Amino acid sequence: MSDTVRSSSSRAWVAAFLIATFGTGAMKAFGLITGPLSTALFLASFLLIIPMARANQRAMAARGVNSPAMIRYSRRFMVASLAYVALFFAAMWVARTYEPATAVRVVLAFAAALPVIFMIRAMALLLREEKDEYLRSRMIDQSLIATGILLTVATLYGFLNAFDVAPRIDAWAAFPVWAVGLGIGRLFQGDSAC
Amino acid sequence: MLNRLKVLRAERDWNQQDLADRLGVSRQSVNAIETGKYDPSLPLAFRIAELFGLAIEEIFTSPSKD
Repeated sequence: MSDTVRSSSSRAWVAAFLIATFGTGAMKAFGLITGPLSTALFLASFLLIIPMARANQRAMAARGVNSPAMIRYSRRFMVASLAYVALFFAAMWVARTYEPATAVRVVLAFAAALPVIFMIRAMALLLREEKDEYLRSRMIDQSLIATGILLTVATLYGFLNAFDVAPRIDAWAAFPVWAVGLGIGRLFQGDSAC
Repeated sequence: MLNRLKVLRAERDWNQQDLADRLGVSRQSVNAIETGKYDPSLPLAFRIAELFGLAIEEIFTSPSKD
């Protein structure tokens, strides 16, 4: 299979994942599907993370950038992503169904945050374990760009909040913003190494 | 940094992946070094030189002489 076909396959799985999750989510939100089945369908759509991650690994191998460290990272990140979906929705369900006491809500918050912390740990381990100096230097550059973007966005948004001209956003948004920054960093770097 | 990596590789009939495997790096690394987009560290430059049986300065051109 050619590099182009593998990249297309990887993109197709990403598209399938996004369509399935946002599609079932939207159908649930608009009442087109209801009850436990809708929740099950929505949660099941996240299982597409597995073929999506595998297709991405094949595409990376075809580009010659699938190092052992990257394979370990992909596996760790995939497990953390699935754990996040399970723990986040379980915690939300418990919080809404039982309206538990403060101490329990603290535990639920930690449970939802834990997989994300494992994602951050997976990224740190990737930087430490990657033996390929070029790939590592690219990742470090991407991380710096992402950090710069996050700090800029957080500073600007913080002052918009201070002047009461923007709605408050929860602090957990920092990680997704940083992850988007990584993607922007890749775009700046120009080629598709990693 | 200018270098003769592509020529040396071609003389041995190696593709980028062959060279990458021999150096224990990714194919993208070889490509980035060959095209001058990335300057290898001194240890990697020594590995490259030892693989071809040449001195570093016989493969890489000093930036001050570009």
